[in-house]
Parts: sequence; structure tokens; C-alpha cells
Amino acid sequence: MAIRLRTGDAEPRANIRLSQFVYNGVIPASGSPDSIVSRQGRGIRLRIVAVVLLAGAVWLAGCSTGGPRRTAPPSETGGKAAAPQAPKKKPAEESIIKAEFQKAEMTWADENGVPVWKAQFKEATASQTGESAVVELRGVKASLYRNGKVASSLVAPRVVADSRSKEVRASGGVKITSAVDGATARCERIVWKSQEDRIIGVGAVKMIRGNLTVTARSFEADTTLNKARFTEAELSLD
Amino acid sequence: MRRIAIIPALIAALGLYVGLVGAGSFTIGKMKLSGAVLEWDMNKLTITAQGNASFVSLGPDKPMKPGTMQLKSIKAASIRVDLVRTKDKTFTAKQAVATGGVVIDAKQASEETDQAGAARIVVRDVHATARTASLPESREVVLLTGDVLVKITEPGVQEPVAVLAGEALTVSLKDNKLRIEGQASKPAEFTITLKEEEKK
Repeated sequence: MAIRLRTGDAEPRANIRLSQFVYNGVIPASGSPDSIVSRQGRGIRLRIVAVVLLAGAVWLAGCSTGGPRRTAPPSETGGKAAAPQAPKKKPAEESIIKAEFQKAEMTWADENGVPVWKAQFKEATASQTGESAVVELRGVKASLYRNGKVASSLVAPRVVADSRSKEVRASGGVKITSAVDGATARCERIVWKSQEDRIIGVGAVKMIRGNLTVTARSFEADTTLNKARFTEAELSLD
Repeated sequence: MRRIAIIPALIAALGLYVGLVGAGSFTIGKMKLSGAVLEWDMNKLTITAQGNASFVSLGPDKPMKPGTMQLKSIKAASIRVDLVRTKDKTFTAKQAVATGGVVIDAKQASEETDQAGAARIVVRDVHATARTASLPESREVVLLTGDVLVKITEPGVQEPVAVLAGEALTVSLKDNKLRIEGQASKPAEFTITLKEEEKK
């Protein structure tokens, strides 16, 4: 894990690297990232609340502009755009990194630095063990990459990404839009296997491409939705 | 009473032939395609339904014109539809191929004259089974192959008015020809059931 702060710019930024996940956000003008770092066993947990606008106004009072400082977790009403969970009292030995950003986003690149995905989110929780990390994002709008190029976009209330398995799981009503031709797929939940270039969607599937509409129980598709396999499906051509 | 005869067979063939010749409506058009598994490949522009595959034509629901035929549905183990992309980025179905236990239902409308000399439109049900069926891109030929059996029935009449059986049925809309083929060991057959008034 690495935390890098850059406050000399017009928009001071913070950058946190957790395995292959990199968080990037603008530090509110009135403050700086607020972090507490400790360790629990070999793992590290990180919690980020993105305050998209007016973050400065809700930034913890008393933050200095010079860099991180240790403080208590913010209250649940930490920002309008944020939906942070009520902070739980952690045991003394538990490890938490907590930071707030404006315009927070997370990028995920593979071992060669080729982007796998890029996501904007409202809230994130992450944990790292060894070289792998698992992040849970809420209020997510993400770009899914294939061979370094955006293949589709994803919108979902909840996303869990695992750097070890290279899988992204989205739930709560997912919408995927192909970057190729704007085809859309909606379903209850998906698993995106980035290394296999495969999306698996389950529950009330509805895929629309031009005047083609498919309803199905489940589907498997490549990341661009160009090839897809549906079960218990009906296609209509209007 | 059933007879196997050449002349009635020709009449039956002509009836089907006329229906298909005027088949401007014999196009794929709007449709529904369903199956246990459905695959689309937008690189090849194909859609394949497998497992109790069903193709339902969603043509306009309006009275049929005499000399026309409307495809209602195809059921088969597998149905593949090839698409073309139009300039406005929509899709149309250009051809379809059904394989395995094919069942086709269609309607055929023809104008006939009753004994009083009055013209009337008769809509008959066409029920065909075969191993494969294809609606090629040209839309001018319909092909049924493998143990082809076609039954033409009139509404309210259980007994088919005509039955065609053979190994392959080709309906050429372009050349105005209908060709049914048999095998040396199993010749093609036309069977027609005469109505009571026709027997007299």
C-alpha cells in the first residue's frame, strides 16, 4: 500500500495504491485527506468516502492543508453526496485507512500497467492482504477495459472488486452499456471476469441492441456485449 | 374419401403455388425468437435459438389477400436467423434456417368460386413438418427437406384437403414453380380429399 499526497497543485490530490487498485481524488480546499493507519494481522483495511461536491464544506474541521493527520472517523453526515455507513468502533488493533476526496475515482491496472477498469464512486471500503486487495464500492459508475481500451460502462449500486481473482461483482440492479454500439444490458447482478473478457449476468435480463430486445433468465457475454449467450430467452425484432 | 391422383394433386399443388406466388407478405419481418438457449453474435450478425426453438412471425394482423401466404411460426430443435444492419443501425432478418423436427404453420388465402358463382376468399391452414427448413436470403425460395409432409386444412374441417409428402419441397417464387421430390424407394405423393360436392 502506498499513500501519496500532492498538495502544491491548484487542485491538491491524494493517491492511494492498494495492490493493483489506485484511488485518486481531489483534496478539498479546506482540508487534506484524513487518515488513520494501523494494522490488523497482515491485513489493511481502507475506507474512502467520496464527496463529489462541496466536499470542502463538509471536510473535517481542523484539517490542515499540509498533509494527513490522525483523527477520528467522520460522522455519517459527512457529506451530501456521500452515504457513509455509521462508523463502527474498531478494536485497537484493527487497521483502517480513512480518507475523503472530491471527485474520487479508482483505477485498476494489470501487472503491465494496462488499465482494467476505472470507476467513480460515492463510497468505498477496501481490505488488503499480502499483494491482493478486495474493494467494495457503492454508487458506482465504471468503465470496463479490454486490451487497454474501454469496452463498456457499468452502473451499479454496489460493486466488489477482487485484485486476486480479477473479478468484479456488481449487484443491486446493474446496467452495462457497450462502447461499441451502445447496446445495453440490465439485470439484477453480474460478475465480470476481466481476464476472460466475460460478463455473466443473472436475474431479469434485458438486453437491447437497436431494434433487437432479448429478455432472459441469465446471460454470458464478452465485455462489449457483441457475443452473448442467453438462457430461457426470447428475442423480439421490431 | 381419399384418392391419390395426378390431376387433384396438380390442383392442390396449384393452390399452394398460387398462394406462394403472390407471397409478397412471405417475408421474415418482425418476429419473436425463443429457446432454452439463445446466442447472438453481432460480429457475424447471427442469432441462434436452441432447445424448443420457436420463431413467431409478427406480421401485420390484417385480412389476407387472395393468393398470399403468411408464415405464422416455425418450431424446431434449432433455428438460426441471419441479420443485416441497416443504415439507421437497426436490424432486419434476411434469412432463417431451422433444423431438427421442424414444424411450420402458415396460412394461405385463395379466392374460389362457389357453386352459385359467387367469389369467396378461403383461408387454409398449412401445417408442414420436415427435418430442415430454410428461408434463404433471396426470399424467393422456401426449402423444406427430409421427410417433408404438408397438410392443408380448411377451418372447421378436420380432414386435410390436401397432403403433400416427399423428401424435399422447393417453392420457387421467382420462377413460379413448386417442386416436390421423392426418392427412388419413396416417391413423392399428393393426396387430396374431395369434398362431397366435388364427388358428385
